[in-house]
Amino acid sequence: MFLIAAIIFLFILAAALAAAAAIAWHFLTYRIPGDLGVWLASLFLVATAVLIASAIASFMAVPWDNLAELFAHLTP
Amino acid sequence: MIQLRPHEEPLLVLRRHWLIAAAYIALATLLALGPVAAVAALQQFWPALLGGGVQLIAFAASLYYLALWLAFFAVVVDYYLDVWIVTSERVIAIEQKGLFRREIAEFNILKVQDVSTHINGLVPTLFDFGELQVQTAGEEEKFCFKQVPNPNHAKQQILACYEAAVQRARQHHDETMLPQNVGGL
Repeated sequence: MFLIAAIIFLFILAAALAAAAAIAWHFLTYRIPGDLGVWLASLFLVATAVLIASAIASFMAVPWDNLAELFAHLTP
Repeated sequence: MIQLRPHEEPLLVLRRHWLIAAAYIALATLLALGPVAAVAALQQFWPALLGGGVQLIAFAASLYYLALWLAFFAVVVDYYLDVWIVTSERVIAIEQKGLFRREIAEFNILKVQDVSTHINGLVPTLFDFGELQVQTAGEEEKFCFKQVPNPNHAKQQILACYEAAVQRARQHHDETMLPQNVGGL
């Protein structure tokens, strides 16, 4: 169960990283003089890194191998 | 990246009205409250799930916030990169459509034939934003920029840039048409 969940999560993470890279590239490339492009890009990169780290941490915290038992316990 | 010519000066930079960005921020904030509302509902109707499945809920919430953050910034990129730059020589119209499609058009300021504005609706009237249309003598005849703040002021500035460019062109033409001295006569 953990293996299947990890594979799916890695696909999702790869898509998220690709989207984040595309957005960051746009902010860093298309800067017009006098604008706040660098500020926005920095905010975006830091917050995205924090969110990806929290997604990985929360994924590791889930008891994937005991998931079926958990739902059996919860259903009436 | 916008490359300006040696004697070209940027005179006006137009982006869409701030209310559009504020609407996106408000929508994102509302969607961010979704997991909070879901947890409150679970606490009310299914408290056992909160006790046993809190790690799964936290994982789902982290994925949701990551997706929301990326979607929000994709929209911010679209808003941020839609821009019109009016210079002393041309108008550069940049429109970002999604993440992987970008249209850049430019026309010589001297080719401007007509500039018109359209403000339709209660909210655009209250907040003074609308559509700016420029009719040109080029291959692509009409250029539109939607949700421009204070479009009438923008129209006046474009027309002023056009008049200044016409004056410069006439001055340059007069100088080049001056008779040249031939053989010291």
